[in-house]
Amino acid sequence: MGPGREEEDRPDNRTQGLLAAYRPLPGARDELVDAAGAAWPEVAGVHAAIDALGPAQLSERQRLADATFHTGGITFSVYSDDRGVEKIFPFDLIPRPVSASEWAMLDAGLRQRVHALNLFLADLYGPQRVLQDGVVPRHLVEGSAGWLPSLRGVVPPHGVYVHIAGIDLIRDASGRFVVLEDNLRCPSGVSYVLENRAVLKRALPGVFERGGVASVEEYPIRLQQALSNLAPHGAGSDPTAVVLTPGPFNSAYFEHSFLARRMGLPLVQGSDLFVEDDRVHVKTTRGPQRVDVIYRRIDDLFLDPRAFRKDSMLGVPGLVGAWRKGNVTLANAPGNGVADDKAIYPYVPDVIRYFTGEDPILGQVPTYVCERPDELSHVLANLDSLVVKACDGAGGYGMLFGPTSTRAEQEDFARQLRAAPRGYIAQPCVELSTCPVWLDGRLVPRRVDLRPYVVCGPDPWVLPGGLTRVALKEGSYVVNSSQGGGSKDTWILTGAS
Amino acid sequence: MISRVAESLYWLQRYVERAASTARLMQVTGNTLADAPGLHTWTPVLIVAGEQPRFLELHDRADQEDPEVVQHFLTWDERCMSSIFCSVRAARENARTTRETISREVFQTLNEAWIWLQGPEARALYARDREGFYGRIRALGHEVRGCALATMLRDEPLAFMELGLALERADQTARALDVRHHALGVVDPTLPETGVDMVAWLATLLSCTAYEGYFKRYRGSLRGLRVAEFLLLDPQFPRSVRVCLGDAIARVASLGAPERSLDQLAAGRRLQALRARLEAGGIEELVEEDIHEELTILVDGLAAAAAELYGDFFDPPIASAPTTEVSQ
Repeated sequence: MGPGREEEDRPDNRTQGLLAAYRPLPGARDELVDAAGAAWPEVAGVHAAIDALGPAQLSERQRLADATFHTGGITFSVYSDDRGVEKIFPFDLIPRPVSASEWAMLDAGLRQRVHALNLFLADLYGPQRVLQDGVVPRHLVEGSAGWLPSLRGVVPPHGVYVHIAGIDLIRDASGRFVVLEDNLRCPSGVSYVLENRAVLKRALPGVFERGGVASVEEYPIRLQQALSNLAPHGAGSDPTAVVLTPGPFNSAYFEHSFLARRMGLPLVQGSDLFVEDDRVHVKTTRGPQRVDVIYRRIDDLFLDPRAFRKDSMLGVPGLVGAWRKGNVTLANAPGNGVADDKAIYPYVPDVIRYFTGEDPILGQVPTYVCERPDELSHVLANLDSLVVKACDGAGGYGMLFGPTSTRAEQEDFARQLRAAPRGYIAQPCVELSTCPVWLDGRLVPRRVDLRPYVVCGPDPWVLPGGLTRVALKEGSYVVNSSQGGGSKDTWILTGAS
Repeated sequence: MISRVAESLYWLQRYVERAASTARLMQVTGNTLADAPGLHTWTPVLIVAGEQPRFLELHDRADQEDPEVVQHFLTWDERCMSSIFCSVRAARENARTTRETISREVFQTLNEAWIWLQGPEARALYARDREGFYGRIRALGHEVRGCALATMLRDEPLAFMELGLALERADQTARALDVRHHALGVVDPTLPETGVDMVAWLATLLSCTAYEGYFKRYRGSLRGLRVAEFLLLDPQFPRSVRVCLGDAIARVASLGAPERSLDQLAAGRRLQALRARLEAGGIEELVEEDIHEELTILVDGLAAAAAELYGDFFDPPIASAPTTEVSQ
């Protein structure tokens, strides 16, 4: 039996539709098709639905989707632009599916990870057994920019530190999902998960009719319940919760306002709150009112000019003092940055084993800690093939992408690495998976990641969905919106269609 | 509710209403000139909008009677704070920063209008069909309020929007009456009215959307005294100063209750006094006393009441005494 016969015997999922000519990038796993362009069986239904769309229809629908974002004011402000300039987060109509069986594994892995990270934080700001037992080096913790030693000994209401987590996942060339990084402070983007879904339903109504895609609508209700459940013990049965934003010029203001609206909670700015006798109040038209829970979208160091940065105009004087006394819940708790530090990340699998006694369900990317001399020399010798990241960098800034970097950039990073090795980690370049994107009238492969959201209230719950970010530039591996990335609707298949 | 948000909602509705009123004034003034050439009508429009000083900083005095220059200034100029462009922008920015409080529909209505106003279609309409352009802005006023009434809880946020509407309307009606004074001088009710007078009174009615209401009330008799009476004192015309004051007083009362009575609120006391003054004198007396002075007292009183809303609601002093325990 020759190879030709084998080809004929294989069930052929290729069609003559929109995806007929679509092929993944060489060396990368595609979310919809195999290397030969045939649909993966688990997502064949989604593949068929996309395949059946007409090009003219798609272009028209893409215009409709973009217009919907504009008229709905679903925008973000760009820091480098003039004040008041609002842009839409580029949205690609082609959904990114995740099969039911893979999602079940991710769901369990994410809950396990966030549960362990919560215990880790409670231990770091408490007895520090994990340091005494040598699981994580003490100096790495104490040298972390996110470590707030002044908060040691404070136990937040119900012992929860991570109320909301956004865990960035990527799928490597072998098809395995791995954790790229944890976001345990103020993870953003969940409003786009809900808005992308709403826009896609409007733009491609027929595609949803067959069902089989998990709803994301539950998120605001779950979040509101978690905030309510985790109010301080003295708050009574109907605690007052608010969302705290840095203000309308913040790039994520739309999201702050969206979440407040969808939870039915007031959106406040720092100047709307004040603290008296270690209790937080909001200024209302009927006088001051007690506040029990604050979902804050202001960074730790800006929360309270008395506790941290004295020049913060965004924060509330005395807020951290009120939190110390247990009079208010801050979601997320201050000080979480130590646990999502990129230099701590390599230790998270051990942290999971230590606190849960289980093996980690989710893998992660092998990581060189530049602070270790032998690993530093390996990194320096291989700058052209590695990805180097600043531990306190975010949004795709402070990063060297070896394979596409210039000699000068590599030399510049080498100098920085030698000067401050604690500040950097390095990872092999992972071939991020691709997904089709509708660009200039055809479907082309572009790299994607996935940020699911976990809400602890107090038990971890994972939103069945997530933000799929996509590097719209050809050949790019950087999916951040600040670096020309866009987003897609993420379809968690329920297997019930 | 949050004081800052209350203030923004109050201003949101004021700005929307201001844009609509300005649009109506532009329409009517343009049409009036067509019927009574030679009447100086654009300068008074600048005066009552409170924008004459700013206009003269930017333009020659002679331009005050150039319809195109004045219309462009009060419609598009970003340096004129009460231009339609600035009013819609301010309303939309207030909506953007209160999205969690207003309904999605209210935001979307204003956002779409703002996107339209910035784009080429609005400019083209302005150039091609001025009447249609101003009509669109007037309709925006109705759309925003209609959306708010139909989709928002009948709760404090809506009450602050309605309070803004009532005060802005009272103010605009008083100012519209005053345009006439600046155009024609003191009214002498003993003299028969001239054709120019009639045109001007009709314009005043139209600029308050009061034409149909007036003629339902007075059946074909157009007299200056009656127009002034209708706009100031009619108990049923929705834009009469008396009705607007009554609305504003009712809103302030409901927003203060149950903790504070009208008399315990500075704005409540002032609005009641303004209404009492208005109702005490008949229209004949008012006119003899020089209506312009009375209108000035009214407009100043409304501004003072608006300022007092800060102490009452938007920025109340924080007593370090007991606070409301709402969460029990």
